[in-house]
Amino acid sequence: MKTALLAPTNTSLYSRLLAESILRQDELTLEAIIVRRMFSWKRLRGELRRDGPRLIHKVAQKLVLGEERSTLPGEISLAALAQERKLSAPNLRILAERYRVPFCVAPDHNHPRVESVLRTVAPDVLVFSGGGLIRENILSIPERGVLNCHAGVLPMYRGMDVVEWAVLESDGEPPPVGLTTHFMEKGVDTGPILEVRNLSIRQGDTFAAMRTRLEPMMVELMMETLLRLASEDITARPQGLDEGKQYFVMHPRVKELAAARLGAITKV
Amino acid sequence: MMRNVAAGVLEVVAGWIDDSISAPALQHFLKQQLSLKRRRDGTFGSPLLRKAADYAAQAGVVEQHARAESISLRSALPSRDMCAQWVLTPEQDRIVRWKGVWPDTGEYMLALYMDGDLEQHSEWLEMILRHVEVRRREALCQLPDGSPSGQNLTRSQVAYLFSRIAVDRKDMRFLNAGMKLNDWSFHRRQRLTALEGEWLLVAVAGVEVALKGYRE
Repeated sequence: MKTALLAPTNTSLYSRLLAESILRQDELTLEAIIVRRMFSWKRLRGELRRDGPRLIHKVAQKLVLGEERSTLPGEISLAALAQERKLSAPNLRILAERYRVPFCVAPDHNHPRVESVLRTVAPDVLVFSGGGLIRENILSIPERGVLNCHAGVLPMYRGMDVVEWAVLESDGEPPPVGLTTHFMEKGVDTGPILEVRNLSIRQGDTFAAMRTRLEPMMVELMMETLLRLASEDITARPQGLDEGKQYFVMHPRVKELAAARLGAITKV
Repeated sequence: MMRNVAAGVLEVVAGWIDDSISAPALQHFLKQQLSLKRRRDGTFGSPLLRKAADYAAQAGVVEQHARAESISLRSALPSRDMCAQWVLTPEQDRIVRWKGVWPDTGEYMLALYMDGDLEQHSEWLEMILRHVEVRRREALCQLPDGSPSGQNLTRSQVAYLFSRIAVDRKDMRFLNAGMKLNDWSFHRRQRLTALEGEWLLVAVAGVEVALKGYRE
């Protein structure tokens, strides 16, 4: 099955793990790697306005620390997975050169240059590993769809901070925390669902620990879904929009409530 | 080593630009403003201030004063007939657009809510919620041209409405957005008119009492 990869940055660990995993599978080919330009004033303004301090935190964790991100003791992290897999290249550009995969850098994923590359390589599945909203001009190109892994359980929890929201809203029952692979649509996390993987909550868990565990699971689930798509072993299930809600960035005071709820759930 | 230092510096910067207001700061503001606006005989000059004081007392921010009757803000809002006209205007097909909302959306939505007529237009609530979360500080400007006039008043009215909706529907997304609206208004508190300032107190106190209810 022909794939192409959309990556948020040249050094994204998640994207590199996905790219190398795809290249190691006989059932899959990687026809193009498309990376968003590292810096754009327009994007920075928009993202700062939207995410504010979260963006800076993300830059500190993902761009500055990268593989040196501190891992929580006893947790399998994305960085640990990268070490275990012995990634062959420090960034996507070098990986693309090494495997002779067409490589493209564009201001954003909806840019005409990206559209042109994708129309040329005509992937069956476009693998999305981050980098903003994808518009119809790109969504319509891959034969089967644009594949994303959402860090929440769909269709219930669409949008942002859904690990925290799921915990906050849990009412005695274990909160539905996990991952969902789905094809992307114009709406936020509204596309047809492929697979859902739940995360079990442990005693003494924190949101940071849960997110650390979710990240390597994302690579595994994306690869599992891709292989099942390649072997025609999976069918996408459309979502009913009234089956869930869209959630937004959590206010710090609400996050405190969610943390307290998590503490109560995971009390030793 | 260098990467860790750089990441540490960035985390400090993230703390600086965080525009959320802490609970003690908001509660201090509420207490101080109500104290300034209270008359010598201990009463307040407007229903908005009386409502804010009542909520602040329920939230435990100020002391409870004896209440003779329940305080309603309904008289400060458009009449039911005006609301019926408002919902029929063609603009209401798309109450929210990228640039903002139609003028007086805050007070009309509140009036519809108080009259029990908002459920027929509940999709508008979801649209306004999404608009606030996506446009953030630029949200709730005035259509058709996206003018910021009226934004301060609408922000507080919508924040107050969201605090009520959160309680009624047990949907914390609305309280979450209400808190953000209050934070943004708080940053502009020195530039508010007297009416806008009173609505801000109602919104802040409304959110505090809703939050207290959630904790309990």
